[in-house]
Amino acid sequence: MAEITQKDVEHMARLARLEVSPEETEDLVQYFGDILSSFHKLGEVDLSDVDPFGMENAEARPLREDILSRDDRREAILEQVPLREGDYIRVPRIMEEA
Amino acid sequence: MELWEYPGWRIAQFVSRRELSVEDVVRSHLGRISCCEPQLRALITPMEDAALERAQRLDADIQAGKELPSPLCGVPVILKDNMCFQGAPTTCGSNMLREWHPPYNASVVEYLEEAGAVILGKANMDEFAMGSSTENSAFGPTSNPRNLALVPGGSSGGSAASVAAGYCPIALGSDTGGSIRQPAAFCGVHGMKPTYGLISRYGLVAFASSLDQIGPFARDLGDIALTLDVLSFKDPRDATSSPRKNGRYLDALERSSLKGLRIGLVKEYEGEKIDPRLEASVVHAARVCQDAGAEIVHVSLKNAISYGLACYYIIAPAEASSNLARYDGVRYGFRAPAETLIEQYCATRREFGSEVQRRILAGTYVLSSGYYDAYYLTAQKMRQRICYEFDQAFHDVDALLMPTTPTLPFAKGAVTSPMEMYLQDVFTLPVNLAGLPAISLYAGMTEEELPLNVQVVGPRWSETTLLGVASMLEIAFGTPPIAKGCDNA
Repeated sequence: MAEITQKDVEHMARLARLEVSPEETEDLVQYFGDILSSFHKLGEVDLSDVDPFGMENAEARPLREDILSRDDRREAILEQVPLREGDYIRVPRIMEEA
Repeated sequence: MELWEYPGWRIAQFVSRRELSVEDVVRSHLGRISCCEPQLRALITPMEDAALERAQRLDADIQAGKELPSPLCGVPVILKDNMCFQGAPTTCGSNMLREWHPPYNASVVEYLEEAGAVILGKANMDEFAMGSSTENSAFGPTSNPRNLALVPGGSSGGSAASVAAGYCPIALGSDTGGSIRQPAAFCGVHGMKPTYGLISRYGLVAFASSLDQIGPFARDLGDIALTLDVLSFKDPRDATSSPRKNGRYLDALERSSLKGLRIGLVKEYEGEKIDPRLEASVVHAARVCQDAGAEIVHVSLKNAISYGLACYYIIAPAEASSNLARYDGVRYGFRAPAETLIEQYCATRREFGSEVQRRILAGTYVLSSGYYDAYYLTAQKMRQRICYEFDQAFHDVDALLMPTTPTLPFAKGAVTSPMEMYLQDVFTLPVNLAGLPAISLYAGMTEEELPLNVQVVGPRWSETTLLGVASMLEIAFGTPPIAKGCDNA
């Protein structure tokens, strides 16, 4: 598995919608190097016969009936919106100008 | 003895026998808080007025002869600031939620209040529960009440410090990889992470949803058991919560011997870097169990110990990167001004601290196209292997003894490398990966008056057995004394 470069970190930041400064990027390259080499330890073990989701406990993932339920906190939840217009949430421009 | 020194179950007795008013109890604890808080900084939001108002309401009900809530009537409780409580901000230790007032109560808050508890405040924590020292809080660090130069552990450091210092007999924390047990160990109190699914997480801000679990801190095992009794319900609002509560946990403490139990010591720990004094605590605990009638055997947890950390630091950040995508400034929380929506996302998310940023980026990486199989899928397979390994061990033993932490509490600012900080969790996070219950117990003090610890781990839904073993250990090690670090400062 390849080394992580500054470019990779910047790409990850773009995907995660994070802004990182050049100094932060430098630290993150170091961090990624350290953490990925610790992950590579997992390669020591043969896991080819393991079903990655096979043993998960079914009781921890119960299904429920798909029935609508009422929630009376509509207004309280809308009050949390940073910029609101009536029942709408106002956000800045979504499309780039041509 | 001051009122703030009593365990919660004792306070509830006084109140229900009308020997004390709830207001007396609450005022005594608020006094303790105002004495220590300038040095300790354990709370993000103290709630004196709301607590006193609630105390007076409970007292009025008692006066009027109404039926008393139980079993925590008048007992002061502090919540980690990632649990929603109406009437105060729920900040998660982050600038992102500094001003956020939740529009509902967490289920645990409802259960506590129905039982008669009085919430005194919201406790400091590492931002979004990511950290092992409570130094990652946007509200500044908390001190360890046993020694103010040291960290209280984390991420639930404020909750642990509150209980140790006598702010409250009971506090709640959350544990994703050790965030209840490690600060309990560092502050010298008991802290329990129950089986995944025992306590509802409705209203707990999500970090890594397949690992997160709420649990109690206390200086007395009776309070731990009582709190579990109050909080363990199947909650339709949390699909992972389970109806598997097994009996009254308080009764589990009645155990007078450990005859018939097999308790495992983990071989692999012997090669790990552990403070010898903590290794000695485990040996001491094993002797106590043996004297109480248990049989001690050695078990192997090679995968959990050797690969748990790598497995966890793929899975937890992957889940976090997804869970924290919601902090985009659109619907709630902080919003930075910007010209376009994309700019708004990025400028808003600038408010995340550096540890949160690191984990989001690592999680984004392991989930990204081309790397998913190599990292996330491999980690999921290792997780299954670790679950299987624990299952095998529990065919042979009823519980495991191990240290909670590899080190004693360290000085503020002493651990600067993220990788070194992650090593704090090496003995706690395998338990989260497998969804098991575990309790970190106070195990006496070193010569320098630093708290020792021991961790008891059991199979899923074995809280009753764990509490039974813990009660024998508490008799041997004693109940945690109140930390007086602030009194002499």
